[in-house]
Amino acid sequence: MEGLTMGAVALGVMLLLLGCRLHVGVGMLLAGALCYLLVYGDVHALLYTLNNLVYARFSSYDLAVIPIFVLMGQFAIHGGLSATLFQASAKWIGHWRGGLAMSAAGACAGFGAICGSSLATATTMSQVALPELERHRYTKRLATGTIAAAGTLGILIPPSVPLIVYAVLTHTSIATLFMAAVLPGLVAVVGYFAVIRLMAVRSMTDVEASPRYSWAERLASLRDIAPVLVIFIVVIFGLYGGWANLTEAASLGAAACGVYALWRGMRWAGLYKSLVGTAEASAMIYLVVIGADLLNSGLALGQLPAALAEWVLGSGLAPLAVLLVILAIYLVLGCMMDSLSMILLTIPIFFPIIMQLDLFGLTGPEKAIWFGIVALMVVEIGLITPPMGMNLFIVQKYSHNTSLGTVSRGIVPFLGADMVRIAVVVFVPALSLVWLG
Amino acid sequence: MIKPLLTRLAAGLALVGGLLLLGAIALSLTSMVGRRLWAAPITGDMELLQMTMAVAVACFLPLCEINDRHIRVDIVATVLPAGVNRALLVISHLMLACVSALLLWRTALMTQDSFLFNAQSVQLGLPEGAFQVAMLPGLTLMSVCALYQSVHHLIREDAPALIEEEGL
Amino acid sequence: VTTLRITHFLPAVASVQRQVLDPWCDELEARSGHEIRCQIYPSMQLGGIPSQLPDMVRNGVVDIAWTALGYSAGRFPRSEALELPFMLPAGGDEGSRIAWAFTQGPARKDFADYHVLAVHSDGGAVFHSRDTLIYDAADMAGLKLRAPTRMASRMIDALGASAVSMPPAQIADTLAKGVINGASAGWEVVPPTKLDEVTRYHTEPAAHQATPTVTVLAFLMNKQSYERLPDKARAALDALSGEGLSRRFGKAWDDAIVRVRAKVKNDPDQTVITLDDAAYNGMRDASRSVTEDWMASREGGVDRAALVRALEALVEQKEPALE
Ligand code: NA
Ligand code: NA
Repeated sequence: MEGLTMGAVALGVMLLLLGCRLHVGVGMLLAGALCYLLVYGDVHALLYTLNNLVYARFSSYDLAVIPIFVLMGQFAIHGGLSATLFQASAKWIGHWRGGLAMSAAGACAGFGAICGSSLATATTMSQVALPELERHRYTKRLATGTIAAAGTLGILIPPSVPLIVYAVLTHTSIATLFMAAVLPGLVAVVGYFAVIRLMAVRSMTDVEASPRYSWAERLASLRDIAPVLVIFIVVIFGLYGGWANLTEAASLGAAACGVYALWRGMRWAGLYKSLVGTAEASAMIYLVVIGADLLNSGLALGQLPAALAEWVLGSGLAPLAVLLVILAIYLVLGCMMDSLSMILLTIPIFFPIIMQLDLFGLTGPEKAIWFGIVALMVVEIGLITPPMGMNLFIVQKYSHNTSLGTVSRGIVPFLGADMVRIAVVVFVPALSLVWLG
Repeated sequence: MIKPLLTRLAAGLALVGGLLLLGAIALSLTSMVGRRLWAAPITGDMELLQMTMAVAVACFLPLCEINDRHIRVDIVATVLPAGVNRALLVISHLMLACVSALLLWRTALMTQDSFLFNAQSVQLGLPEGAFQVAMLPGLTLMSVCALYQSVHHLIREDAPALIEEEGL
Repeated sequence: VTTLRITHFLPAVASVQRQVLDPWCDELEARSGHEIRCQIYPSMQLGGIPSQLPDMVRNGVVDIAWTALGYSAGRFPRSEALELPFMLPAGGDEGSRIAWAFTQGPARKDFADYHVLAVHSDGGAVFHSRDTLIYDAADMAGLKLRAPTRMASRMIDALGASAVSMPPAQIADTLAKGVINGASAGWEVVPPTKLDEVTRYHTEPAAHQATPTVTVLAFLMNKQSYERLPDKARAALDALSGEGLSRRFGKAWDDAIVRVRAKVKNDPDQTVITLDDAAYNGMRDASRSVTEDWMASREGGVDRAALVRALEALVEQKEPALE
């Protein structure tokens, strides 16, 4: 069977299986198995490919940083870091109009610098910030919209699980990608602040200002969040200062976070919860990874990525048009799938196409980094696009008596800010490449 | 009665995996410090970390399934009647049970080959088969947990239609 | 038409595919009267990790794989002799003639499960260093050097340096940060890893000296895939494999070595040092313990001492000028 046809059949079957609520990893694995059967005509090659599948992925050195970063995030959660961050930022900017929502967004950004997952960021910040926002009579729409959107800073600001997976799939440096994500991540924070400000002004009667704190209190609050800064700086310096590779830097961060959590009163129960939470989140990720692995090798077996890249090049479409089509596909997929599955499913197909296109005169390595950041931004939007936005579900769950409709309406202005930011990141590649020198 | 038992087993295994993860972290920190301060990295630290993590991740698998935290696309579920949703859940967990049994079988075969052909880690010469054997309990228990989930949805009506997202 | 699926661990743009595999496939297709068609899957596209490549061939997941024997430690215990310190001559062609003869003769048992198309040498390792001029073993004391294989690690340790293992892709980054001081790697590895941007000094053996260590690479085929081929196709494959193909790989490496070495030599910021006889003898003697330890091991019932004697005789016969 020809590559494109086989790819279409396999992807169609996969979407059908996923629609039937199969585990995403299982659906991908079965679609990959179908490719093997179609190409070889018997089960022999498939069975022996499965021999190697699990060990090959579970023992990957690059992927091993994922559980380590997940554990670091768990320590941060059970060490009460989210509350500390939120309280500190509230002391600085809480008295502004909409300042408490901005504090929540700022705390999400700070938490995102420790934690590699948006869901974890949204979960912990919902628990900490939603009650406070509601107590100060912020509308449910603004409160839930803020947390759902700012929760995505968990993956926009490094460390970031989807970026690690992108790096592994495309043989790009994880450290370079992390560095490239910093500035776009900060742009995201600025965008969310702007939206909150606008919304707060519009709902003038609802938003109650929180008290203004003295400078002494503000400076005192810095002492509480100093450990966060120290942890972040230790990790970053370990990585870029050259005394650690990524795995070691992650280990350092996790150990530092663990010590901080112990100092903040985490005991056996907290340690147990951290380890168990890490187990669940890691297992979730790795199951999708092995499914995607078989699907990707199945598609490669039928030469789909090469055939597709050739077809796109031969079609005479303008490179920018191809890029926009790809981004549109992401936005549609984002209404149905989670960010990690999207990266694992699409990058092996889209990346070879992107690398063949002449975009903004970027060199190959630059394009790989830039597209990684662009892809991260668009899959991140999937977390907050209704109807299937994981972050929306999470904040809805922690906000009492709030419908998904309210949360969905609350997210709309933030989606607008995201779209503007994506346009900026796409058309100003320098934003992601400025650190490359 | 079965579920508490499976949950305890899965949590116990996850804890074992968690301790291995802590061990891996300690290993890479020791190696980093040794390399920086005394120019003495731990020989084979990378391969040791890789093999340890393979075992740890396998140990993580069952808990995620027994707590039903695996990623699924639930967009269709919102428009389907409860009965259909239940049927889909029965099927999806059954498929995971089958797939993990298949992976268990194939991984066991690879392990056998590793012993047969004396596969070793490159630097330390440790037997790879020993680490691969340690992955098998995780795969086994994941299969059992998935089977339990499938049967549970088949015979019990109170099973939730949508997964809950928390505790990530 | 039979499709032969070929896989390897390097990217499609690597010279092994561009210079050897692609043209070889074209010739094979033509010579077999187009009864054979090749399909190459670079970068481990069919899943798995490099150490599993021999298994993938043996189990018939692919028909042919190009792999480094050292990645699958323990699987090819006899062929390990080729990696022993100061054993083979430098240069891809010379090393490949010996590697082929040795794996067809004394080490044949390693490959009982495969149809071997070629076994070749990468031309041998060179010590690349960031700040230290390495004239002899004494200069290596205390250095942290990246080692490509287990045998290279043992040799580096025996020479008084400490070995750090890592894949080629990480060498330059780790060197730039000062985590390691240098690397043992073949010349052909220099351009793709940008090693010349982070090291300045390069120490290599002289023409009549043996190379510190080699990486042995093999082009392995599934036995059933081979036997299944129609007569004409099998004849074409036979004509295009064996010592001829091994040396073809070796010569492609030699071309790369000549090119890279000339470029580095012409760079005023780079220094290439050739070992003098005293330094060479010192290094060889210091690393003799590695060979002796290896010979003493009887693991798997393999008589390693006999293998070393056989290999030394083979080298003597093929390269009489080598010291
Ligand atoms: Na993050
Ligand atoms: Na979505």
